[in-house]
Amino acid sequence: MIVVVLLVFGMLQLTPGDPVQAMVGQYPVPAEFREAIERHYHLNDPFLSRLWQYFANLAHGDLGFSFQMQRPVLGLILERAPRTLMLAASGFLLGIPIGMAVGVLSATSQNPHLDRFWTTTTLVAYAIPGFWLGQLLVILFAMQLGWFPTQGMAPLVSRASGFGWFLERARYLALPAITYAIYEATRVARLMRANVIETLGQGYIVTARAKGLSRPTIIRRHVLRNSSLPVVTIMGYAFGVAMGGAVLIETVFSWPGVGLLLIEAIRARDNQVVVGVVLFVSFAVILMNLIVDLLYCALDPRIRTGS
Amino acid sequence: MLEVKRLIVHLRVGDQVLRAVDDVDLFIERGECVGIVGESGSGKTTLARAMLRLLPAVELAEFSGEVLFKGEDIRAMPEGALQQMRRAGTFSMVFQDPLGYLNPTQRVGAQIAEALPSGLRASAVRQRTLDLLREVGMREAQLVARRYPHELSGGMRQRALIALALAPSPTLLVADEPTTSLDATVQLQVLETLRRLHRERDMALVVITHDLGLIAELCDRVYVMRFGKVVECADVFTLFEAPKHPYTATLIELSTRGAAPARATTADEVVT
Amino acid sequence: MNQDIPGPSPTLTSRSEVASARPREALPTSALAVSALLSRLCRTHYGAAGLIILALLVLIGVTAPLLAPFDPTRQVGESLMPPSWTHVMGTDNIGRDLFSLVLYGTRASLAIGFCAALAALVIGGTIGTLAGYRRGLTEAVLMRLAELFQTLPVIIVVLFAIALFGSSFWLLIAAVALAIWPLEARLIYGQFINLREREFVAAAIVADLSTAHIVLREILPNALPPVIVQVALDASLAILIESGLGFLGLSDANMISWGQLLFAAQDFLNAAWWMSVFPGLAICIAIIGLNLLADGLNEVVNPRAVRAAIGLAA
Repeated sequence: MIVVVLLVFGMLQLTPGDPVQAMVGQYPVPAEFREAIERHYHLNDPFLSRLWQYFANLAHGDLGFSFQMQRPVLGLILERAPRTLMLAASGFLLGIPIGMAVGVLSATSQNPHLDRFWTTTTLVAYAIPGFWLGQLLVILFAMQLGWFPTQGMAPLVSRASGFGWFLERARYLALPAITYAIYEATRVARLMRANVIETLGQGYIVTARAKGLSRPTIIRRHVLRNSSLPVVTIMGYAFGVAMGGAVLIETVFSWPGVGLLLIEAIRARDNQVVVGVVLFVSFAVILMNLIVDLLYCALDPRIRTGS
Repeated sequence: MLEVKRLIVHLRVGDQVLRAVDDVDLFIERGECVGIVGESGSGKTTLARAMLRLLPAVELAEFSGEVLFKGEDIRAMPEGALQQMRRAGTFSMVFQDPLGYLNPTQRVGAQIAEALPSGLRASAVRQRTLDLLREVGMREAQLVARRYPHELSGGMRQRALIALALAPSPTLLVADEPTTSLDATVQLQVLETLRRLHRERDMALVVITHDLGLIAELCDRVYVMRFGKVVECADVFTLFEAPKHPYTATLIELSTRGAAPARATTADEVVT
Repeated sequence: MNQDIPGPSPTLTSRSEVASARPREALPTSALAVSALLSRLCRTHYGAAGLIILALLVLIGVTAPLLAPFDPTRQVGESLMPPSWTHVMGTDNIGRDLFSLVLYGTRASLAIGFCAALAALVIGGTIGTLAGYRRGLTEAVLMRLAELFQTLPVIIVVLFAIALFGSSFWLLIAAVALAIWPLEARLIYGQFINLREREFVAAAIVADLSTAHIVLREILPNALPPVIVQVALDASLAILIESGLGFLGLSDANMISWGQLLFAAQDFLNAAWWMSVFPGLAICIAIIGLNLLADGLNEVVNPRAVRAAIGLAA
């Protein structure tokens, strides 16, 4: 994490032009303001003490101040983060089981046509950019069929409450979550298929067959668990990809999450927010990788005993 | 008990077809111990797997002939009947590489229990599993049952795999290079275990190996294989005293000449 | 050292010879070898399909001015016209011919794809080589850095770079290369780790050949095959990133790219589905082509059939 901060700081240092201007964006900088910022970030100090100050600010949760929104950056991000998380989580929950099922079906299918069908489907789906898929879904389900709203997270005026409130939200969540899910599912399906095929070639599958276990039993007891393990390892990476994808998918659906915040900030040249979001996302991804590592240790006995 | 007639197995290897087993006849009597010798690539492992129908269908380019087990043709048997036969303990197999042939994510005990006949109560399953482990010479059976394969030594894994193969109380056990990957002392232990089981259980034993020493120790009768064909078949004494085929003579000469060549082959197996 | 002991018979040693054999011959540098690679590639279904798609795209990119029925930068009809015989893909919101735009877009996407993949190969290759051949601190620092970059979402890195430095064509390529170089670096590094312990490298060191010679002539050619596959994947990733940026309206505004067409489409999803469908399809085709090519290359470069056969003999 520290290295990420160093990198970000380094890139900020490399930015051409006036650092104050770069931080603030394209707003005119009043003189007293410039002085305040210079004092706040110790801009006139030598490099190392500036770096130290930067770390100190971050440690206090001070990610800077958004001049466009007139609010502290951290508050902005924290307000948006749960929405992104909700979207990504529903996409994962929907997409990963589907992807795993498709992968297993495709790999264990004794009908070569079925396998070819799924392989081709995932190959094509793999090449579809998430945001374009989003646009297509909007055109089809929101515009043509009118089943779902096209944009946003909730209606501007809402009188629903209780379960109705939930349903209303779900309608807004549906399309972006499905987009995410399809995106996740194709990746998981490809990985899962490869894993299952590899597992099926392992010796212990021959052992299982020699025991006289039936095909479904072998798949359930010996194939599923062993080929699911690598899926867990890519979860951390997948989370990172999802955070990146959030930028695009949230833009398609105007879903007011962290990703959209980043884009709004870049468009408004509100660089404090840009830096804040980048740091936040990096932090989240690194944290997620840590969790995944721990999870993997818990699941795989080979690592658990630390040999 | 087992009779193989005109068995042909051609395997798909990439774009090519490998004639792994080429028109082989052999038989195994009840309670007998039969050896199949040959160098690496002579088709002995493929023969063993083909006999028990353990080769994946996708790899088979051709699979013909008859494998009669008590009069029933295993080769042509439907999958369901075959599974029942395996569960009922007609025949089972000990594989060459015990680490690869045990599931790395399951405890050894659970994997052995899975091979036991179905319909046993949990306590009975537990008891039988421990008995099996003790039978193959594991003193701390309870501890071993709770271990994962990678936590055991090579010899222990090999014996765990033997215990697993014994679980359905087979009348025929096929052991593929049961001692190859082991240290000399452990080799001896496994050899003793096999000999004892063979005697106590009145179980037919097929040992597949390139190690003529092992054959001499264990077997009654020997088939010598080369390039997918059986080149000679004789009882052990005749084979060692008066080999008919020049290839057999070469094999015997090489194995008695000293330990060095034998160890070289063992190392090769590990390397590849 | 096992191989030093003379085997009992020629057939018995055959396996060990395979194990110790010198790795594949130095990669194709001559035209002959390249054509051999291509012909082997064409024999794999995937590779041939990918190659055809890609060749067609390159052709379209090169001959876009000849193929395009209209000038893509001018208004040539009413705005938002649905597909018809004059405008096969319809027109966009300012009356430009979408078919011509899509044809011209091929140029930007392919150029960015190839340039960024090459740049990533150069950066990643250099760093991977350095880390792989020099051990100790260099190795640790460089590989930790690569790992770190790999953890961060690619598009976030690119967006950050663009937010700070702007997005002209070359800056865009630099940003994409900055985001994907670790893929190359780690791959080459891994190859080096494997190869530097091999006998023929030891032989070269004993023969007192220069470090540069060992790295460039002995190790690198043998390390390259899987890297070629990665370059194809990198190119597809770069095209995806560029289209993503275009879609966000953050790509180079002076060029026509498929992503930018989708950016324009976003506001007219209701009125003009064709504005989204056709450029998106173009992206898909390019990505599928590159992925197929990578699959085919993979089959040629490290044939799985061989490995499967070894597993089977065991």
